[in-house]
Amino acid sequence: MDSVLEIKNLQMSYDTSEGPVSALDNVSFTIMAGEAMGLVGESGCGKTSLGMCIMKLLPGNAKITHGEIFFNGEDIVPKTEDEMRKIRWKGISMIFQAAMNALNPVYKVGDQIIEAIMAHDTIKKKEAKEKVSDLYKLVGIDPKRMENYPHEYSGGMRQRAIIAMALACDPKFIIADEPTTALDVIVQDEIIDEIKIIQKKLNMIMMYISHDISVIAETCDKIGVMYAGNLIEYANTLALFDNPLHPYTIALMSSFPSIEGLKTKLNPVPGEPPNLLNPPKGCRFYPRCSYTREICKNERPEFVEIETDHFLACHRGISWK
Amino acid sequence: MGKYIIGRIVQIIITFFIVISIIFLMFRVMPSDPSSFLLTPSMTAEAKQTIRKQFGLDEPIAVQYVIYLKNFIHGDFGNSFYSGRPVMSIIMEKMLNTIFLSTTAVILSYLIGIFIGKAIAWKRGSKAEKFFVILGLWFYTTFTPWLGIMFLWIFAFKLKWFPLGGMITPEKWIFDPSLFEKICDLGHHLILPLITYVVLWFGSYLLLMRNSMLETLKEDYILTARAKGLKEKVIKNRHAARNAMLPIVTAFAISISFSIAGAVLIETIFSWPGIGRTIVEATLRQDYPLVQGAFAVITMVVLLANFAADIAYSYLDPRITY
Repeated sequence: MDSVLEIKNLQMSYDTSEGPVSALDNVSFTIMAGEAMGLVGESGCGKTSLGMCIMKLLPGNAKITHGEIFFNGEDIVPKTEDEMRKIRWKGISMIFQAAMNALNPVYKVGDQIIEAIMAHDTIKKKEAKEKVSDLYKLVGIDPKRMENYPHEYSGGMRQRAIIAMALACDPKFIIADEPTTALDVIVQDEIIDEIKIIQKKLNMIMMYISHDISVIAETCDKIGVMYAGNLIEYANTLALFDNPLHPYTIALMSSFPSIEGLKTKLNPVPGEPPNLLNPPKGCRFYPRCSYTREICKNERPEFVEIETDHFLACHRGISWK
Repeated sequence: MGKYIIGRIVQIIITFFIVISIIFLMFRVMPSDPSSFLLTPSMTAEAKQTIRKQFGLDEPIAVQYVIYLKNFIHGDFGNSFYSGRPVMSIIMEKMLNTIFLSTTAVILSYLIGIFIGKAIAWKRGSKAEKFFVILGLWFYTTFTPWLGIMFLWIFAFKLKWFPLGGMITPEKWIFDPSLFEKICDLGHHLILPLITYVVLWFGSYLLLMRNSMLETLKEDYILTARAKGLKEKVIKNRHAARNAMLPIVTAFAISISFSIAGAVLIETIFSWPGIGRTIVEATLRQDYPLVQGAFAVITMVVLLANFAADIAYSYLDPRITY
């Protein structure tokens, strides 16, 4: 299988008045054709920053300081804004959170999708409109609703419209950034199912960002766990659930309730994430880790393939082998 | 929508009624007698009484008020105490002169302010932004008479590029000049007060537009627009400026109505025969009918401009329905 997205040693920081904030450090992973990858981690761990890095939609004070992002075999890090504009939406598109003001309130929803199509393909407005109509049917909205404004949609419909918009230019790669977080569980479930079906049907690769590991487990073939700007573990969904290796992953899983098995007390992870203005010198998780040894404080663990397709950045993992 | 418009019209009528009542009372409690301009000590008591009667000033206040309202409803503002001409025709004539200067100036300042405000918000942190923000603030806070007099002194008195005041050169108009010559003469008189006005006013729009634009640029739909791979110009104009304009529309309606009310200071400095100057003069002469009429017309303009802004708003922002 071909890799469609390959990220190597990505490093990104935000310049702030108090100094650079190391938002992403040492992030490497690959997504193969047809795969859906889930990215999980707590708020502020760099999930969205990573998504924005891949789209190159970072704010002015953010800078990619190191690393490469290969999309379709081409490194997009050195690409100019003009070159990126052609890749955006057509190559890589994004499903935004509907709770955000992702749709412009003063234009009809249909027109906003048509706008995206016409920015990339030279087709007539009428054809673009037909395409939007098809997309609406695909995501389960009545095509008549194209003529409505965003405030006339319900939350779930707005999310579906945003999905339709993300699919408008037949992208090869879709980043879904917490697409269901603001919805109630029933609508959430419907939308997740839809995303899953569409992703398989259109054979796109997907990166699904969420803080909810159960949502990710349901949607994705692979899971990446992020902590404080580091990707700490990356494996197939089943492998990760059967055999989580990083102490943070283990802690994360035991902090989620399971509807199967015995009722056990949930174990939240004690402590809080480090300040990224001045991250710990060694492993970023060591102050909260119950397996800390001397080496963890001083040396950063490498992100290595510890088993086939199972990557890990932990001193404990390496010493196990 | 229809119900809303009817409601608003009723509201406008009530507001108008309250305002003209206040205007009436305001002039009645002023401590002097308007007839004193026409009366001289040498007149006989009988002659004085005749004049007072002629202007209806011998009636009790309540009766005067009823007559006043009755005439207003008929659109009759009476005659000026000072010149004897019908108030309505004086107001219309002066109003036209004011619109010619102030409304042109407001529209120009508005367009310039919005254009620059939009551009500098987009290039936030640049030197151009700092320059224009300081410039805008500087002129926005400049004392109007000072700038007007400075301009007059430099460009009219020292450099002699422009006339010292007025709207036309009467000598030129005696010999029936061609239309082109008339326009040139008018334009020549117009430029200096117009520039003064625009310089003083564009800053407020510039700052308003810049702030509104900066707020809009933080919105998520701007990120969506960028993610969609739209061209910079499209994002700036179609997505950001379109939304940033919403609060500026209200400001425009208010300014238009203020511009009709006249730039009293500028009209005085440049001897522009507009409504602002007329109000000042009429007040000093205690010319009740003229001031009352002028205030009533201005009130109406302000009310209608705000009404128009509300209606425009519902077209610009689909979220607003009445």
